[in-house]
Amino acid sequence: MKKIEVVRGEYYDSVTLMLVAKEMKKIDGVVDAALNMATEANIEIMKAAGFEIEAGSFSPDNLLIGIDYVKDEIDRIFETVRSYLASPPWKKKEEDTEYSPGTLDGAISVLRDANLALISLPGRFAVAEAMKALKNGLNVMLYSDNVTIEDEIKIKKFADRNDLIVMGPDCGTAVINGKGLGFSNVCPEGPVGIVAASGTGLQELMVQLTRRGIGVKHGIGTGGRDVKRTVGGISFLKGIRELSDNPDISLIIAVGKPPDPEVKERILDSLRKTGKNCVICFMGDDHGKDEASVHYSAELEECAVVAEAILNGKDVSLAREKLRAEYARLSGWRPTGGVKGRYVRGLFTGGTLCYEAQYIAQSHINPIYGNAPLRKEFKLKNSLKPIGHSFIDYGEDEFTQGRLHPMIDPSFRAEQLKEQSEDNSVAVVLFDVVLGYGSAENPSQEVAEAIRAVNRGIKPVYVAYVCGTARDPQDLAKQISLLEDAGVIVCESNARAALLASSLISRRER
Amino acid sequence: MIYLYPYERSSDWQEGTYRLTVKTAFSKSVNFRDEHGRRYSLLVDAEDYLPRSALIEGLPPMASGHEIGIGIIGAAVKFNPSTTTGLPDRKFRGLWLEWLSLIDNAELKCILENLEEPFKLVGLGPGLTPAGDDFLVGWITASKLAGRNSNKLSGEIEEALSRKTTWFSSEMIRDALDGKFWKRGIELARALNEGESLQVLEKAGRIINWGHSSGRAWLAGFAFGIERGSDPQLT
Repeated sequence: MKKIEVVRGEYYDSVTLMLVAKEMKKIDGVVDAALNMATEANIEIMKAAGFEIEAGSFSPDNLLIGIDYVKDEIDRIFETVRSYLASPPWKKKEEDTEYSPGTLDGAISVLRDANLALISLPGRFAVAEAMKALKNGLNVMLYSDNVTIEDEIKIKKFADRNDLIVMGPDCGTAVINGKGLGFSNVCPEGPVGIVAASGTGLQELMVQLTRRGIGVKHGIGTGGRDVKRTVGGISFLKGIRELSDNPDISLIIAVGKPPDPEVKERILDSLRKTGKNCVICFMGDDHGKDEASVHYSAELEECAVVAEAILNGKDVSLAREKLRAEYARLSGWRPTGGVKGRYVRGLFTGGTLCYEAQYIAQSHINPIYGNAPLRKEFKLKNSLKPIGHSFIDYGEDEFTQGRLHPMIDPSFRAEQLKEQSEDNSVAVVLFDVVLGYGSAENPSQEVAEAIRAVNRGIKPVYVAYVCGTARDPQDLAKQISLLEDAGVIVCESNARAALLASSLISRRER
Repeated sequence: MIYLYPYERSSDWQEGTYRLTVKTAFSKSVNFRDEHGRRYSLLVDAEDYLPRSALIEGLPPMASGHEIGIGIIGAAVKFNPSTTTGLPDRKFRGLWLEWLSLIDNAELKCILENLEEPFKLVGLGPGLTPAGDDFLVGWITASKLAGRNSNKLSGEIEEALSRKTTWFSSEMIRDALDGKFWKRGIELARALNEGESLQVLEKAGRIINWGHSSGRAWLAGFAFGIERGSDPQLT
């Protein structure tokens, strides 16, 4: 029996909702449990799971509890849900736990030397706290999204006037003095400084640098909107100035999706003025020829390869050629069982990884649809019903309002992966697994289980990339092995995974 | 009758042999009552020191009503419940202001709604020791530790103690009015006074995790006492 209950006027954070749902699924007889804020997207997802929901009767502030229970007395299960929400059973009282201040003023009073505040609140509250932090002389990392462009400009201008920086809004990753903030991998500290207008772009770049033995001192995230004309790259340019002034940094990398042209020009001018070696990776941008100290790259792995060559005093062109030769060999590879089906489905948790994969794959397969496509005309009408070649970013706002980001809770992406795999027209499923602090404890496990549960005679070819380092808490080798045991081809970079997945199809099309 | 011999004690539990009746027994503490109704406690953890308490290696099974002999003989004095410190360092004001909001929720709002009539707080709210009592103890602690007179407050609540709350709570409040406090509170007050941030976080952590609502109510009362203390008419 499937039943919905609604809770009004109470707020629960997404982690609590995820943990309660998981706890409920452990109860004998509970087939499914879903706890979501009643956003339009979540209502669609719950309807797709078979729950009957009357359209238009809820506001996004309502909590929907959906239970599928095969035994009698379903109301007892709802009582359990409510008791878990009131007092989570996994929450143990630790008498020795230090007090954690719950307000900015409280935190400042005990951390008088602090110079950075990380703010992660619903967007409508975040701006006031960010301004309060700035007025207290703190730099700000603004993890929150749903901040208006006007507010973003206001706080960034205020910060800039006061020699401070706002990283974000929607900044999920940063590294300061070698220490990761938000979603971050365990990487060594070193001579590289990065300014990034993309979260998983910064993660992938740092992972690729780490795999080449190169460390990062600062990774300054700016939020994707910073490089738009309206904001004018205020934080990006401030970040470059900071890295330029830092004597520990000998190489600066600028990374992100392509900025608006006038912002790009300002960024290039600023980089040239640093007098330091710089590498630019604005994915998919028409990049220029390398200059004396400024080098260009189109992909994140290439960016790391160029940086490695510069730091080691090697020939950059030769390093690029070597990489291209490796890519060429990879694109000629074929699985022994052949490929059945016509389309590639890219199912991503990392936004920039999804973007880069589309950029690379478009040379081999077209058109590529998605919820964040490279070309607007290929935007899917319904992200839950992909068509043709489709690349979906499950970290987009439509999937994260009132529910956890898929890097934290990979269950929804795993469900979608199973569903897509059972579509006979799908030949290749491409996906990412992002490790590091902030990400799920064992993200490959759910994907591997979903692949094993796929009900189809000949399964699609699975191609994946695990973005992580050997020192990440999830154990990189274990995560790769979980996928490989489920028959997944695991590549060494996001670029390679996208290239392999798309070239498998393009050769068949030829 | 069994006899127990603690190895450490608070300074206000004098040497001698006592015959006490078990009132409440828990895994880490047992509370006893003497013939005058006063509370005594045996503990296994030094963090839990309170007035008239002593430490023992282990607690044998005891049930309410049992008569127990306790020999306070040669037990070292390791805790003085009458220790006072100075005012908290004002740099922590941001911290104690947020403690005030610990009662701004459905469960503890009843305290917030009765602040102007302290006697109404006696026995009010959830918890084994009603949260209103914990709030009052925090409030009295802040006033006393800062060397302020709390006669007005004591006058208002003393009359309500015997009829409006539990025996244990009334003992706790009477001790506070006598200037005797729990170790957790004294240590937090000392850390706040000495300006040691890490100590403040550690000691406040030990209080906020104490009981279901006791710690939160105590901290809120303590913060209220500090803030309210600036007005001598009100303390």
